[in-house]
Amino acid sequence: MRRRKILEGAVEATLFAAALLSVVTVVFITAFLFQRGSPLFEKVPVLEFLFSSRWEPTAENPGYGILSFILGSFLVTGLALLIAVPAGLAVGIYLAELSDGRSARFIRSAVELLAGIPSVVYGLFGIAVISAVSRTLFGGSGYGALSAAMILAIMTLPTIISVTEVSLRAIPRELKEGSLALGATHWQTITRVLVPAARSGILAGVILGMGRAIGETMAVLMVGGNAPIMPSGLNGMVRTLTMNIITDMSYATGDHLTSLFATGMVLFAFILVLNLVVQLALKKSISDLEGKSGE
Amino acid sequence: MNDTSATRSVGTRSVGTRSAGTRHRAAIGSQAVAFTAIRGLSILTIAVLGLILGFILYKGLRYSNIDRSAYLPYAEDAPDGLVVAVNSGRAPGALDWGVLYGMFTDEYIDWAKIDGSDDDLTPIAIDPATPEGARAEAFLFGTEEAGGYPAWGGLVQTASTSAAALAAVAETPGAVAIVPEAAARGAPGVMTLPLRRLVLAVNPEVAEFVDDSYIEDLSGRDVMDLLSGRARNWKEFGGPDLAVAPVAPPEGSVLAAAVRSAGLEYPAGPGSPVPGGGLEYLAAIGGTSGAAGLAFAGDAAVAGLPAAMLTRRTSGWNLTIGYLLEAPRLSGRTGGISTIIANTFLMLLLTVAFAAPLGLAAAVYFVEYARQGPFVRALRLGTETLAGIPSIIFGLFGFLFFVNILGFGFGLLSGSLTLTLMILPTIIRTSEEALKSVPRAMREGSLALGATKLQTVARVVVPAAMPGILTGLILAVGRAVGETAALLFTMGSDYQLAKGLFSSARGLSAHVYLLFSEGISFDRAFSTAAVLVFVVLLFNFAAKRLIGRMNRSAAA
Repeated sequence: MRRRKILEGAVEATLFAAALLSVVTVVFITAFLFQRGSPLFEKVPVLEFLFSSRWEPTAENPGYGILSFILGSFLVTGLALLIAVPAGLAVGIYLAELSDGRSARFIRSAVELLAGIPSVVYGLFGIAVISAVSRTLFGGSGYGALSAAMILAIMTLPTIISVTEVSLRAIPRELKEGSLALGATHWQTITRVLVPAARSGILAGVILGMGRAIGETMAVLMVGGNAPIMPSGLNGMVRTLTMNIITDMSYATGDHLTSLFATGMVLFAFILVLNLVVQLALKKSISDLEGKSGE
Repeated sequence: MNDTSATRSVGTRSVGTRSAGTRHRAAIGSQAVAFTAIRGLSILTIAVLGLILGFILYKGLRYSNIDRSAYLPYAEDAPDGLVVAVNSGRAPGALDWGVLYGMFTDEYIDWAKIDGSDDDLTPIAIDPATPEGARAEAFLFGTEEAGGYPAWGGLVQTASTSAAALAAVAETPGAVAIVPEAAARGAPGVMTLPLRRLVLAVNPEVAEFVDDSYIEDLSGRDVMDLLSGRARNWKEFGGPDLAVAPVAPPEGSVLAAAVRSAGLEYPAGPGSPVPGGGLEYLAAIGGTSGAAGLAFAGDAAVAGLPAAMLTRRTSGWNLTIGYLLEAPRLSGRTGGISTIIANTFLMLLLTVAFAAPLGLAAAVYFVEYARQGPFVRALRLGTETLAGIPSIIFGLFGFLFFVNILGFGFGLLSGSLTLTLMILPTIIRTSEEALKSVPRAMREGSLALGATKLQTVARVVVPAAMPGILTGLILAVGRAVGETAALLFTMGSDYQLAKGLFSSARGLSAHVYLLFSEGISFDRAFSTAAVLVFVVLLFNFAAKRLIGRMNRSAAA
């Protein structure tokens, strides 16, 4: 009996350790990034790192300013959301309110498939098609903020679609029926009752999509142009925080390498803030928002 | 119009009904517009998404490129009675004149850029002092009277007779020789490659830059137009303002015969044949302003005439069985992706071996053991946060922790461990859902029969939740296949089969990226991407089937 108790206790401790692993990993990631990135700030003031756009890590008098990459990240992400949010809302509303069961199932599995396509494949697609489309429509080289944003929009669409649909379906039936019973049309019910009621969920989904877009690396790397300069308009070449890390990582040493970890810290901070906004302020967990996949 | 007046006449009788009626009608109208817009936008979005998927798969299967080349597509089997002899183990296909010339002048050292194989190139020349050798030399470098001079490369080996050259070719896989057709006929172990050597030679003035513009690449139709006189001025092709002067090769010459067999008949009229031999013909092109005429590439080069660039469309199968089954060579320039597929599956196996027990254990803890409280909330917050971290941060962490601090180096183990951390939140979440869906009654029944909590969990709850857990696992692995950024810093990029846990290995997604970024081959990147997408689809499909079976058994 005692041996069994010990066994039970040991198993519970093991399971607990496994559950602890995620937190430990998050703590480790934070600690290691900080440990490797912060030494840069002994040489370069934090404010200069964040608010200077002089990125010349290999120059005689090296400059480590990542302002242009921060702006690049937000420019690309903002543009992507500008495209993806209206389209995602429309498809989400269509799935939740307008479609019949069969077409909804078809669209849902198509969206799921696209969510599963690796980002490097989207990158190839971007080079072959998006850059050409962007070149014909808007001029320029075709490799720049606009192309990167189009690719990111396609990649964030599945998140926004499924979050919108799940949030709309989670609204109690009574709300919709009450509105219809009062004589409102279906469209009035959608715009004045359902969407406002699902607002917090949809907003959380958009923020979630934003987090994904800021952290996306391969696809933007392949179509963004990757010039370490201030983004010059919508067509100009752009380098984001993620691109900066992956481009220089293969050859950086010394302070240069440290500055890449510091770039990672900044990116990580943005992501953490976005995640915490979703989880704490909106009181929704990411798992609730993404819904149950595959049903 | 009638409708409006009717509404108005009703309205005079009852103000309230009128305003409610029109407003309702307007609302219905705007609803119709809005719904049409939403339907349209949805269909558009889905169509775009479908097109993307179709495009990727199509580009993966077929390639279709527009090449530029100076040579007309017509290939001669035995130009001037000579043949290009190679080992019979080579892939058949026509050679461009420039490639043949380059083979004997040290421009090429192996076959990689010629036919994609990685044999070394061994050019063999027959001793130029013999009549056969002199004939081949004149063929390759031009005759002395035309102004040609031999420029044999240092790699070229000399054979005394054509029979000796053919014997060497039969022995050496990468050998090439130019021998008389009669000698090569029936020689064992040897095959001949047809040669493309017809070009459109133009007067040097035509090929000059004018205001930064240069004569465009010409299509086959353009060539016909130029030769027949339908095209009147070079301006039409972006060239200088010169009248087109087509020149026809002398009647009865080898060139005229080749042109005729290429199917390019000079129409009677403008392009009057130049009397005399081939030299006069080339001199006529060189001396006439705006002149253009077909010529053999070697003769045109010796005469100092530029050749117009032509476009040539090539297409074929991109993804073949051979591509899947061969090992990559020369950084993926040639060969296939068999080792890369194997590496990918090794990586996934390792990842599952780590992630499945850990994720399941964490999920069991959350569902069966954890008591609600701030501590467990913090644990959950940690899991959710982990789910939102982008892969490049995982890459940095894996590089620091697994590669450097733990000293695993770039390899399968570091890569799999990094992937494990990435997919852990997904596995925990889906396993939790599966465990929660097991009815309470089953747990209570087991406990009532005297089983301990551990026995209940291990023998009742987990087995009952297994299909759901597996589904989550498959979905998570499907996502892990496509991971690139994190693996570039942790798994290395060796394209050979991984020899062990610490051996650097390249997966499919990294191969796609490296084929593109190292500028090796866009087509190959696409065919690898198609394989990758296919693997992802396979995982998704497997998960779907499992869910379907689960629902059916739940209903039964």
